[in-house]
Amino acid sequence: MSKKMIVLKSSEGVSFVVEEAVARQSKIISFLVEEFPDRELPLTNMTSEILRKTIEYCKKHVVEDDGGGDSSSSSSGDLKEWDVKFVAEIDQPRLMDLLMAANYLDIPSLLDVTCQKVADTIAACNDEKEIRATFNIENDFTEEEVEAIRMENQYPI
Amino acid sequence: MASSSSSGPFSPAPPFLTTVMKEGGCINWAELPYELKSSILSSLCTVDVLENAQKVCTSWRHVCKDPKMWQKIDMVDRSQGGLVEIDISYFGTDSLLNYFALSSSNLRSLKLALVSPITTEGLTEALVKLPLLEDLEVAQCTSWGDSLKLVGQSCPKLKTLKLHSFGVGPRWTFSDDDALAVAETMPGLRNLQLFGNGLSWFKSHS
Repeated sequence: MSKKMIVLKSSEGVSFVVEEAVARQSKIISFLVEEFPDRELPLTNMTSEILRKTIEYCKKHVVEDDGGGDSSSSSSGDLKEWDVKFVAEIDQPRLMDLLMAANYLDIPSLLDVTCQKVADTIAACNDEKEIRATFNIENDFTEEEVEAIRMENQYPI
Repeated sequence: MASSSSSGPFSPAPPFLTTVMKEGGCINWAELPYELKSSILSSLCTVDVLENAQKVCTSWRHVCKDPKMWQKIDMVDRSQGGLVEIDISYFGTDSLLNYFALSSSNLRSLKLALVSPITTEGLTEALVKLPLLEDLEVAQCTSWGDSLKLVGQSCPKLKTLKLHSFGVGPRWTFSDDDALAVAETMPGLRNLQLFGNGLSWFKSHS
């Protein structure tokens, strides 16, 4: 039996033909496939690059989930390892796009690994200045607020 | 920018989709939707949240102050079980206490207030896992029941016991049974303080 394919279209208008089972890793797509069968689904706010990455993740996970069932724990260990490698290879702006994509398409496991990667990056920073520099965040505190934080973190006695 | 006139199942696009994901990606990390910031920051350990994350910018600080961020305090792990002294006055739950007790069997000093959601039962359950405890200070005591005896038996090294019941809440009375429990099960006690139990007395016991 041939597998059912669906078409996802990126913001640049590039079409990606994906097995339905792969695309259904996304709860949103799963819903849309049922609501709009046999239609191409335009993801107007996802670039081709991010859509390709997202599909790559979903492909890997659908294969593992299918082949696995309740198979050995080493398979789920391998998958975790694969996830870590997958996010490690992504630069920071793309990581944020991927995180947003996971949130937008509702792919919980991808959201988890991307959030964890960001958290790990934050944890690797020595102080708030390094975090701001790493993530290109502006310090928008007033002097009073800085003082308030300083006071708050002091022990009362 | 994603066109709002595009056709297909996503048209009209739910408004958040176009505001949070701009063309070419990259919005500011500080501008991530609240839930996403919360998901990220809540997986940091407590020290990183207090020392770094909350000092980054106002939006991160806002997330860091959310009580949901404080459902789990991850500091014990940093001590790798070596935690010896902890003060969690007016903070925490039974399960947090239990977590500390399980992972910090070297704890020597514990100070806390017995206010909801911490219960006498929860505290007792934690105390019996702390055989090296020497100092115990409990504010807002209510009734101990048989618990004091159990505490005495489980914490043979107890030297200082301070039980207070200031402020609001039901009055606590140090009963004869409580006195007996202390006398029978806490032979190493050097310092016993009982405040706000109606009598407000101090007794030294060697």
